[in-house]
Amino acid sequence: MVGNPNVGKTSLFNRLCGVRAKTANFPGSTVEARMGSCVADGVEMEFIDLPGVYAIDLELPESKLCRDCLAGRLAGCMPDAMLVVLDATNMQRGLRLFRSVAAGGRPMAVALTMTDLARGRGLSVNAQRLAVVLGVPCVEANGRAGVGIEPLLAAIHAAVEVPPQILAAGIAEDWIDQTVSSSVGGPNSLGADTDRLTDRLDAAFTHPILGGVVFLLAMALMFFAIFRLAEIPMDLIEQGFGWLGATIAAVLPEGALTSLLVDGVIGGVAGTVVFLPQICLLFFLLALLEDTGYLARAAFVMDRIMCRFGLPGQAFIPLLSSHACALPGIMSARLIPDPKDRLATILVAPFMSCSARVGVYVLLVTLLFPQSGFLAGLAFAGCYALGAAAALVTAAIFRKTILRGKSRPMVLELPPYRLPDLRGAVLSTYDRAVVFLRNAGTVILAICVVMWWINAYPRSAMPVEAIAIEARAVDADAAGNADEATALRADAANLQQRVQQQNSFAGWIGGAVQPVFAPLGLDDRLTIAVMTSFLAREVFRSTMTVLVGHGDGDNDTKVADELALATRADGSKLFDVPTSVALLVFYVLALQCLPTLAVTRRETGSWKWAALQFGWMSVVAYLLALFARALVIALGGGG
Amino acid sequence: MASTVSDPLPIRLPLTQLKRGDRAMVADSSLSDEDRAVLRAMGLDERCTFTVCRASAGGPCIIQLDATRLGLSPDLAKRIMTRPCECPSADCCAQDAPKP
Repeated sequence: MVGNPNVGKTSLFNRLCGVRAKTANFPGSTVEARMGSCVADGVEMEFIDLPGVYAIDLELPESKLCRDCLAGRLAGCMPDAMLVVLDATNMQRGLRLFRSVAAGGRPMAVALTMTDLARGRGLSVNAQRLAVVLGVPCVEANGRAGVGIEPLLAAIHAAVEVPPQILAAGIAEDWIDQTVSSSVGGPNSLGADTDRLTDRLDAAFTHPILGGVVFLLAMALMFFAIFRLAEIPMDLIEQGFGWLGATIAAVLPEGALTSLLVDGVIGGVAGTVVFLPQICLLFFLLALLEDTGYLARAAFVMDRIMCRFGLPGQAFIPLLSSHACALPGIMSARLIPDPKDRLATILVAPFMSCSARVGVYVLLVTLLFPQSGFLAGLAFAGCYALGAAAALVTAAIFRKTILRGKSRPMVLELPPYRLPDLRGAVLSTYDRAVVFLRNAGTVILAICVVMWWINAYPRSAMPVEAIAIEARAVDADAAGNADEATALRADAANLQQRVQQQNSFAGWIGGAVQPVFAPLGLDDRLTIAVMTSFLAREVFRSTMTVLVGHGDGDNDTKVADELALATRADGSKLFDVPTSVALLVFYVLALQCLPTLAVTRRETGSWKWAALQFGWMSVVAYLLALFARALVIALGGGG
Repeated sequence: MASTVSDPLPIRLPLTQLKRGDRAMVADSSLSDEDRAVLRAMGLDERCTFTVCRASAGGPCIIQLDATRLGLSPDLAKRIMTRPCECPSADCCAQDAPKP
């Protein structure tokens, strides 16, 4: 299936294949196609939905993919037939593409879409006459409404039997004008000047100020919906995995296998899958917005700002999405057509402050400003601003260095406004969810198991102090004081966990790299907390709770109170102001999320870019944290 | 295609200097071959007449070709030279357009 963008090709594909479709990344290609199948008259037909193209001879990835398909280099086989999807309101452009595809000599059929819109504009569409002129079967079809699907399948069957006959006639440019004139009423008879509603909406949505306000409102609503509506399924997923882990822990004997299953596999996968509702909601809402025609206008408006940093207007959406979670943000960078722009956006998206950082921000900001809610709020907002600034500056640097080169000129087709296709949005969301879950079940699972292993091994024996506390717990039980016994057992478990973390491979690594973090004011315990945070940054709080205090890990104020009292070996405060500021800056800027690296690798097709992303963000985080600490000390903030 | 009025005016203006509602044709451009090929594939070539829907000297432009609206960045738009048309219909200019 080949066609210009915005001609209803994917709606048609969704109608033909439904859920029997999957996204396919072909080797050597940075763009994706979708593959699916359907059964018609007992015959299974396989479809490849190629990306929308304006021409197949352009030096663009999507054009190359179409050329590869026509030449039989895609999926290892030559297509039996090409289904060209033509927009009845824009026949000239579609016929140019048709002519290029026909030159390949493959059997062809044509699906004529947007005929209702064309007739609404006063055109007389005649598919039969067009079929005669083109020399291939031609059927009116509407993927959204499901109209013309059976005749289309029959036409495809028929097309396979008959090679196209238009080649000789199709050479002259006049052929297109003549074809349009004879089948849809002339190339310039659309009455475009009477399109008042589109004019008015465009005047508002693309206005330099009003357009920006509308965009911010639309995005605020979208992200409010994502945060609010995703809360319930996220809680359910967390509870579900929690129940599963507890059940397995109760059934299996205590030991390495149980720990691997509960802490490594279930804990690790749960930490990723919990974001699935946000991802689904984001892609569903983006699909709806894109379908209405608004998203192209939003990209147009944001281009004025983003282009100053070497990014296109479309990059705003992935960057904004990354405030919820970098995973959907990076995945939504597929909206960006230019490969370098897309890569730059993916590389900087994790700088945006995601929801997983919020817990760390709250803790450190509370430590810094325990008495002033106003200053704490300012610092909190400053974290978001710092992340966004780092993303934009990094994008500008990358676009002038490693991703140097001219971007594709910003020329966007602004599709007509229309009601969104709910069915198409659901199918598109389902497709994205499957891709995400497949990734969570393979790459991310493997990474989680490795991280579990370096945290869990070598095993440490229970320390003498913990054994003594356990003994006191037994005595408390015997005395009938159950609450005290429970508290003592929790203390013993904390102590055991602390020793285990310090003596594990992760602990050794923490000890070995402590000199690196010493300039930031980090001691052994803070270094271990930072190192374990590279699995997921939200681990910082629980690790610090284990290493320093015995507090309730769910209570921010209580944890902060305990951490505020923690001291170093020399008796000085562990969380002094310079160290807290350095830690805060480090957590704003560092990439401490393995699922993000895995998704970057998948979206860019290479670990090289994931490694660059990790290395760059780590170096920037370290250097700016060092600078921030030095600045605070220089300003008399203590040290 | 009916055509009654005039040739495109002899003056040539950058696309960014046209006003909303103006009709014009592409005269030439200082774009690279690759960019020109993309625009041509999108329908914007020397044979087409378009209507300006939004234009500003330093900002992006929106033009309409047949039923399609295209948004162009300022950098792109200022490098496209146009020949404004006086006629209200799209057909008149197209008749006198150079063949590619």
